[in-house]
Amino acid sequence: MITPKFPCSRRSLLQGIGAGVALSPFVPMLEAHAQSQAPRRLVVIWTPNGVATSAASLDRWKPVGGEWDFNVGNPKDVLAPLMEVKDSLVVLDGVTNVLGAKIASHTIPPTLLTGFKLNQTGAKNTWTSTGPSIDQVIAKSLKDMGQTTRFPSLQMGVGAQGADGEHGLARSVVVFTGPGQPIQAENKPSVIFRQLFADFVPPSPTASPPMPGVKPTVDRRKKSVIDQVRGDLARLNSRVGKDDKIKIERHLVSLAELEHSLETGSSGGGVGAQPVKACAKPADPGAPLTDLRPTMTAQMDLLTMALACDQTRIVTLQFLNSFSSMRMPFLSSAGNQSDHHGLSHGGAPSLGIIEAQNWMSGQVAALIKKLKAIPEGSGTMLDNTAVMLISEFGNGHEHDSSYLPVVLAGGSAQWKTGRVLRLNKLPHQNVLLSLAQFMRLNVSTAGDPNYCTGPVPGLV
Amino acid sequence: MMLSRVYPLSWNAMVLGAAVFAVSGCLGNVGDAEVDMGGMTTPGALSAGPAKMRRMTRLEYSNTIRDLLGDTTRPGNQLSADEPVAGFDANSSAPVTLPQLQQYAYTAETLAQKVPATQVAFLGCDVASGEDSCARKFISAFGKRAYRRPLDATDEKELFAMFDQERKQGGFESGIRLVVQYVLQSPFFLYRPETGMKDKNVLKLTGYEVASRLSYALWATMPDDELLTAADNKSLEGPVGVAAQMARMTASPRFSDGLASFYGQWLDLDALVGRGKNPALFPKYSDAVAKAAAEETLRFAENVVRGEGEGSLTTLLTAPYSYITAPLAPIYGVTAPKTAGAKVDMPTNQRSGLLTQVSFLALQAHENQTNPIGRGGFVRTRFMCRELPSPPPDVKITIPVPKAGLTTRQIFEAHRAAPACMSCHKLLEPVGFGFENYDAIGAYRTMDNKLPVDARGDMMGSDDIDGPFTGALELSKKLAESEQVRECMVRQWLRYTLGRQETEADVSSLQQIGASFRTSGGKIQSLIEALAVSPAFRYIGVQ
Repeated sequence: MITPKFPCSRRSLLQGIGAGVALSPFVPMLEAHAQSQAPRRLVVIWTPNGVATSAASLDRWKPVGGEWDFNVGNPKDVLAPLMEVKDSLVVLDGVTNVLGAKIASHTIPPTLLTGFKLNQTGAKNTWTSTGPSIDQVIAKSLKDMGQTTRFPSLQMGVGAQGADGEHGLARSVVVFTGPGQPIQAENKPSVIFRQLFADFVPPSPTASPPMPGVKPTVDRRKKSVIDQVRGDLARLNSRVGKDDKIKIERHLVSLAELEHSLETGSSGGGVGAQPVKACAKPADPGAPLTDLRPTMTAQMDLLTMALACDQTRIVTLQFLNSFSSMRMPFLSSAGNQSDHHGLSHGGAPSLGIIEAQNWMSGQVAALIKKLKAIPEGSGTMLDNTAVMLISEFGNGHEHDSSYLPVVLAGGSAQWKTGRVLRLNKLPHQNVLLSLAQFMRLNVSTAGDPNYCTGPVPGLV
Repeated sequence: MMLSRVYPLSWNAMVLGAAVFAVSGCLGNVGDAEVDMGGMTTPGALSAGPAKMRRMTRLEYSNTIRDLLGDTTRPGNQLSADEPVAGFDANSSAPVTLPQLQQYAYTAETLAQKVPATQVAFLGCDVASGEDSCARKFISAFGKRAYRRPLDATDEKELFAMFDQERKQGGFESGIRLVVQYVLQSPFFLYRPETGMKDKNVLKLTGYEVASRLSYALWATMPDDELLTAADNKSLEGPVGVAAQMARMTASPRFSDGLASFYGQWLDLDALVGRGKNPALFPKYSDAVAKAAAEETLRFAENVVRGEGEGSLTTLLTAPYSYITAPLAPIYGVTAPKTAGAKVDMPTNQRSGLLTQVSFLALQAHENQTNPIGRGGFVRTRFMCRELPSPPPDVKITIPVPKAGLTTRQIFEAHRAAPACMSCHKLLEPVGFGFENYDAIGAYRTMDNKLPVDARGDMMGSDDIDGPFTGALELSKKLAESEQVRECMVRQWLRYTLGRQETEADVSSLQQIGASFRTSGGKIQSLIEALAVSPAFRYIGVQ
């Protein structure tokens, strides 16, 4: 078992205390206590089809320079927009997906957040995972530890196509509750709004908190439906075989989650929830948006408020999908020459995919700024939020996941940020483990334990 | 190993995804191992594969809501994507998630508010005749259609209790709406459980379960009243009754929905729309062309299955005509028909059936050049039912870039020359090269990159059509004559209908269906009819 060595990093202490204040022996302890009270959050963002990085000199992703003094090599590089929030980053240079490298195709996304190998059975390459993704492992643990929010996790998408074409589910899904149990991303901000905020009343600073154990009234009809579904699932369960029993068991789990979300519906984030002061009901984004840009902005705004209002602490955001046929016509030059997948095969260097991923980095930079602008405790919400931006390939043109591009951001309550870590083929399971430990899980391995060798060295 | 043996009727080698490659060096086992069927089946004993409970697909959900409530807003389009199994949307393994339950709940609540909850036509009775009796009558009739079986005593009791409880709070109308809101979220509505009746070593499906299988396979929707009545009369428990319903259903306009579902999924037509081509190289291509091409293939397949050209597989693969709309005319080099979708003869010696249509040729092509690997692979997996292994881990996969002074064929030939690639790729490109007379949008060409097209191909590793050929017309003719392709069609229809991969327990059914199909001269409708009366369709194996 490995517990976080530094629940409160040097950097967050300094931020919390403010410049110029002498450190008294007592302040760090108080500060540490205050920080430990803040909820930890996780945001995982997947951008597909690689980022045009490789061992070759054509690399357009890796930052240049020293650990604390790095920059992009070219102002148009993939990570350039993130240099504005450089102090909040930990760029991981040298992560590898051992499982994916053995597959080398667009079917590998199920290995990305699970750290487990693919289940390759089934015709037409309908491959799926053999284990849960780390976000779902964390969500389950938080629930087991009694840290319930209204929703255990949230899966957002922007142009994520779901199952399409030959590769079916596999290339399109990264979130799994268990082996072969995908959760698909929701592309429509209007639906996310409806599910999270339609009946949401932000907590009033003057109102007294709800009494422990007192649950708000659920619409009697919805309650009645849930009770009856539960009963009918039990009756059905007695009639079906073992494979179907697994589905019924998961149906019951999802049903309990639905019920919980209704019971905590209009009262904020739920039992033990800690909305920050900035929590406010966001605007309804309205009808489905067809352009990727406003969709991305709307999803990022909803994501931010979902965290600020403590509706959930775990969010995944999937941009497009591996092998995506979506186009980004708003990009200026090389980036509008082809669909996203086509861009990744645009030669070396793939200027199109570089431009597309540069745009995505800009969206993530904007999110980081949003989180950083929201005060929490003596710091900001970003301090308590781990953000990971990842793609399933380094060099998408070669379907190469032996080098995985990973950017961590935020999380300075535990992580020493503002750095690039030069690593040597670090198994990506180790990164997943570091995310779990950031979320205060008392674990020493993540994904397939045959590959995980410990948390990312030097991160905390 | 098994590869050197000859199986003229090769169910043995083909069973279980034919994880077998007849060319040395490409021996990767995909999925399960081959099973030798010799002596495995007891003569006379029924055998059938397993059945998993399937959740309605998006298409089925929309159609079912349409037929159950008369709502045509297609709410299934708002649901999460479906789970494909064995190449077809099945929703048989992946469990429902919280977001999906939220979607179901929202749809159910919305629809329940829209139903005319007090109208006689909806209730099937007049409230004035007595609330309790009318509610019971409605619950019984509506529940039977929604659950696709008569309600049992517990269903009736609990649904009435739910109505009654809500009536006390919100009145009769609110009680009825709650029943609708519930039923649309009930596992008995969302899933299709098949529990059957014990029959020796297998379970025999109930008539209602057969009705659902027929309806969702042929019409992509819930059973109609006539099917449910046939189930009431127990006539679906034997092959005669099933065949009678089959005849009615395939003659119905609704059969179009089932055919579109099968051909759309088998030929990946959904993947076509939205996948663009390089506009500088292919200015004639657009989303409108892609859409028209997908529709053309569905229209062509439907016309053939419904009887054009003997309704045969041979016609599907060799017809020198098609049914097109205006956007496709310039690509085929024909005049657009006066009536959109009417039959059009194609230019002589350029087209023959499905594999020369824009839908396949454009889908299996890159945005700047053809894709001989994809085209060869598609023929092999979809028409010959041979799965291919993934490339070995140490191979770097890149798509070759077009070069001046070289044809696509020449570039791809150089690309696959590495011995590590060659062992499998000799099963792919030599088939795909046969399509080089068609560019990346499916237009006919004799020149590629200012050089003459070489459309010579070679088929290897097949059961019965090995050998060289030239061009897609000759390849299509070979495929149309192949027993392996006929058997593959049987397997594809079984996968689609049952939502699963075939197993060794299905072998006798596959043989039976295959024999009928062959005897009929390759009529697709005969295949489907034989499938519906086969043990695989009417029985399930005990787990």
